[in-house]
Amino acid sequence: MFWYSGLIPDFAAVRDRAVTKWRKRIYTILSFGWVGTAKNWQRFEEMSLVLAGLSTPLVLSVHSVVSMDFATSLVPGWHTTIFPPYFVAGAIFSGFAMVQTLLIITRKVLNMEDYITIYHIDMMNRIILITGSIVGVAYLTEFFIAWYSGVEYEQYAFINRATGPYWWAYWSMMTCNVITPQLFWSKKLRESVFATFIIAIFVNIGMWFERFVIIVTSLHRDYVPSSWTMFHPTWVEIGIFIGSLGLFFVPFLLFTRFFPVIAMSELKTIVKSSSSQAKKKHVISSSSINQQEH
Amino acid sequence: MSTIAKKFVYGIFNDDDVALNAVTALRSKGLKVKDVISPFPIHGMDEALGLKRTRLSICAFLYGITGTSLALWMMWYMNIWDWPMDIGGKPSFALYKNLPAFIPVTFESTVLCAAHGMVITFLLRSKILPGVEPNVIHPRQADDHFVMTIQATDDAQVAQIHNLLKEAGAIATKE
Repeated sequence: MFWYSGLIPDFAAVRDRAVTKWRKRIYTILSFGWVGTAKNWQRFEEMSLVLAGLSTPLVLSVHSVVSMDFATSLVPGWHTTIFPPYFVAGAIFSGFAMVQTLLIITRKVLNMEDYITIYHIDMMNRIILITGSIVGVAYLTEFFIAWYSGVEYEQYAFINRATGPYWWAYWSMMTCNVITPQLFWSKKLRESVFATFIIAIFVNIGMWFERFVIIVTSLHRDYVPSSWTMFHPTWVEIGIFIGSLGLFFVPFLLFTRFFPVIAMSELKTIVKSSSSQAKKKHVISSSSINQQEH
Repeated sequence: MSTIAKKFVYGIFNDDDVALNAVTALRSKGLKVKDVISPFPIHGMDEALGLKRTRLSICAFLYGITGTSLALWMMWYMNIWDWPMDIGGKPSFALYKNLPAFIPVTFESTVLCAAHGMVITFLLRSKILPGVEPNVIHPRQADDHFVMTIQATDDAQVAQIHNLLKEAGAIATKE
């Protein structure tokens, strides 16, 4: 809803530029007949502010509740009190990495390098670095608490994670989630689009393995050794996995094709001030070039 | 009452600062500036036009309280009054004793009611809904132009408004 209400003025902008009759009709419906009167803008800004305030704690609550679904169980490896903050940090971490992956391709394809700049990519990489480090600390804390708790089952679950039959999943997760984001301490790598893309892909893989480690390695061995088993995905499970990618990418690609990908009305409020700055910078750099020539 | 019902003159501007200054200037000359349509929110425009502060956030607060009360009442009715259950050795005797377990649902319900109520109120109050035909005065009013609406008191004033708008920096005027 936050997403759609923010799109309404931009749909109106697309509507007023539409050339074909059908486009005009569709965007008229999508824009709800929005006209940017002063009162509407006043209400719109108030609404955006309150919605942003409401959805910020929602981010924390959603991931906390999801993680508590695991934590309230008695399965060793899931029964962990650190889960809520760990999942919140993990969600921000993987979310930013996924956005980087899509953003870098989208801004290139749609020629938006002037709107989504290297500065933005650098700032997002800093968030990835911070949240990646938080996730790393959470992994170590889990290990420490398992040992410190003195609970045999808990201790075994974690030793089994790192050295058991699923060691490869655990160490893929550790490498991709904890070690690769540390490369972002280097400003050069943070500002490199190519390096960002590669590291973001690594983080995506790492976060996929995190879910795999939490779910599969915790479930495959529990209290009763007779119920120990290995996980083999069926063709249905593989199908659901591939289908879920389609479920995401089809709406994503449709969105980038037909909807405004940048909050135009929001950008327009700063476009004059930032462009006059850009002009000033341009004048300075061109005059310094002239001086060098003379 | 004048014989003509309502006569509007529109001034088209291509700069937000010029439009904002024009509102103050024209209002001080006693003109009735009804509205300014802009492609983006212009800060200070609501004060310049003399608009009251929106009460949308008060609505959101009231909807939020409604959500909180509904969730608490629902959980009290289900878990305390109608069908109390002893879960994990934690019996359900009173609402306040079970409150920690009720926090997530209360929070979600508060946010749900506040957000949905506020957006629905926004749409209804602003009269924007799917199917509403927009009042497009200038084709670039959602792009990079600004439309100022001025209500004329009588026919004689119309020509004067045109001139004043041009003086204030309008690139074009329209009736």
